[in-house]
Amino acid sequence: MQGRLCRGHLPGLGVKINALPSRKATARLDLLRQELLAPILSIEGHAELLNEQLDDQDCLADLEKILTAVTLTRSLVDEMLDAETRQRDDAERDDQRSRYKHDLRNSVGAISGYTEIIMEELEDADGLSKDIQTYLNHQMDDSRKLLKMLDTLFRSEREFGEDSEAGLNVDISSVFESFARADQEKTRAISGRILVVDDNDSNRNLLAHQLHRQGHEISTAPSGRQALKMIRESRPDLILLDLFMPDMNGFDVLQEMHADEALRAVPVIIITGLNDKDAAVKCIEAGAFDLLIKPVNPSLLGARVIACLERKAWHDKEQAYQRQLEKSYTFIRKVFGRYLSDEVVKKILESDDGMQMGGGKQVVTIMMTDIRGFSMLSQELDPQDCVKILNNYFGIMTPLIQKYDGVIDEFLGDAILAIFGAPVVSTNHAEQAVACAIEMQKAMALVNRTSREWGLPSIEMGIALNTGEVVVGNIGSETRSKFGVVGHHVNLTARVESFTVGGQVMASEFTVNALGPEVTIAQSLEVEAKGIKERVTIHEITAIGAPYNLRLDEPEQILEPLRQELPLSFRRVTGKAIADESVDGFLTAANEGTAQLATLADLEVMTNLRMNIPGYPGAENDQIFSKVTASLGRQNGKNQYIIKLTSATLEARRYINSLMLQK
Amino acid sequence: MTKILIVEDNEMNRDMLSRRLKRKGYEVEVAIDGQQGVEIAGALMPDVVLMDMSLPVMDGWAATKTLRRNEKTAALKIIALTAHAMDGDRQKAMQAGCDDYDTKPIDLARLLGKIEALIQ
Repeated sequence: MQGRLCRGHLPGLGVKINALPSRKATARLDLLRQELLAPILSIEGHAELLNEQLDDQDCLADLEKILTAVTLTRSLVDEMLDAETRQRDDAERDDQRSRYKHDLRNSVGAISGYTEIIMEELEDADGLSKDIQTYLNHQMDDSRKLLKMLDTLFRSEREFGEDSEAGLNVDISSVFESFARADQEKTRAISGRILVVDDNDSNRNLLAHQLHRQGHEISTAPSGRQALKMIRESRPDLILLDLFMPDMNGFDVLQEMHADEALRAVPVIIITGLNDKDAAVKCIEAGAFDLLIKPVNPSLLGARVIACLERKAWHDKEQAYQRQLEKSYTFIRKVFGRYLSDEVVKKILESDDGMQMGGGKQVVTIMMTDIRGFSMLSQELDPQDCVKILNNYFGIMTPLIQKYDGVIDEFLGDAILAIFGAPVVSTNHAEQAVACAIEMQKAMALVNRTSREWGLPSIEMGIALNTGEVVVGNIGSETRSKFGVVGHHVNLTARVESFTVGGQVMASEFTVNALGPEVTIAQSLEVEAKGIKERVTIHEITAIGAPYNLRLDEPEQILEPLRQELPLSFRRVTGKAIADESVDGFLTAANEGTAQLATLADLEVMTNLRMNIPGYPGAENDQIFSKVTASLGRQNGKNQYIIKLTSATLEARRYINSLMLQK
Repeated sequence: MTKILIVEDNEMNRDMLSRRLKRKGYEVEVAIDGQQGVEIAGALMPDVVLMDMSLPVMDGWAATKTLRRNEKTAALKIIALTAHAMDGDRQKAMQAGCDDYDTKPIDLARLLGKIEALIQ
């Protein structure tokens, strides 16, 4: 009766033979088998657990009987379900079923019966531990479950496979509908380069042809060693590897691949006739992607191969992405590393919103520094010496700015433009900037010491600070851009800078208002900055409190009285314009670039003066500029002012110094 | 002590049932097929016969009928044991002359109830 594919009536016999099961029916039977197997396996498992726990010889003997009954049950279920797939008529079916029903009820009855016996015996002997009780209860539950399933099954009037009511909790149809949908949607056609490794020619050729037909590019190797050579040379996308080969077996190949970093990522599917589950485990532990037992169904192989190739493709993509990410990081580090300390760069790379890169408005503190009179100095010094002084100066100032989380935006000749509070957003940029400025001023002593050692002149720096909203971003064009700031407050900072003299830290009211810590303000001025409507108050800061605790040492402001008063004349300078009116005055005392001026004229603090010193040995049109930094009031009928030389030739400085020295 | 004869061809069932009944205090004898069952029943004259229906040599129905035809054993109490839980089987057993019937797998408590009921 087996295997004949005739349907409907068998000619001449007048008997209706039932059809072979459809695909769905076969699936249903498979699932039925699984369902029935579940409690059977559970009974088996618990019996094994009981075997470990029980001591009593009688109980162990009964347990053996249970195991025998389970084995019998299992083979009966298999046979019964197999019988369902065979062609038979209704009478035959009922007859067979009747037999199976009888035998199964007996065997399952034996399971529950002996379980009860064990329970009773242990109860009597007081040997019923909690675990044993649990296992025994499970046995009973499982056998009851099994019985119930079988009852439901045997009530069926039709073939089990055809009967959707026959004891299954699963909706078979929906799965098959999903399969059908997936078939319609199937678009992927992944192909790859596959290396087939098998010492047996027939096996190798068969696999090669099957896979080639499925669209892959195939290469073959008859031995493990050859395979490794080819893998190293051409790096295939996937290896199909036999286990048993003469010179180097598949497992060793696997291990060697896994040990080699370059080869580790190449997926390997082991195809072997060896049906040993420990071997399978070992191969997978050694790094095999999968293991298939010969003979391998070609469609199944094809599907596994595609799955494997897909996975590799994703792996490769991820690797490429990682490399890209590294590149970006390196780029960012390089670009910003010049402006930012490592810490800040790290912060930018790590944070999501700590960085405002593209054209945003932000409140920042802007620092502008300027070396007083450097332009004049640069004309008088050798270019090399000029650069020497500058680089030494920058070399000392740059780390200080970075220390306070500032970003150097630009070196403009001898000036530094630095930003605090961008691109890494921070709330304490104002105080960081102030503290930084004070430390920078203190560091000038170091700068000048080095200059003196080189036999080069000292320099003085003025620092201006301002706080406000600016536009922050990548400024420039595609081919050339930089991180920059634009805005009214940038200009204001420049204006504040114009009011500073060497050694000063001048901060706008906006910066001072934004401060947390206390600061010591030496003097404040209301100034009208060119191009800006309102008057702005600027403050000279000489110290900042906790947590920084920095103070500018007061420079020796003791002015040595000149042996002889030095008469001179001067003109007021406003912007670039020098006033026509020449005013007379006297220098009465001096010290290094600072002097006391006595004059009848009324001068405002911060006024720039162009000086004309008679007796000055230098050229006529040498420009000597100074700034009125303080008013001392009236003395001897004249107004007394402190002036600071802001721009003077070396000659002029030496001359004034020489006057001082003459005692 | 109550005497029970178990007529059962399946060794495990036989062993299970006889042990459990013995532990409950019954005297138990066994027969392995219908023919032997009839013979031992006649000799032993048990209080209750537990007769499996599907037996080799002579099946349970035939054995029951044989016992009923024999004057000596006609009044023996017979409980049919069957794996087939359908109504048709029950009727069949009762028609053959059984006094009661129980389905496999055996629920001991249930069976004991039936045994005791018959002995009263």
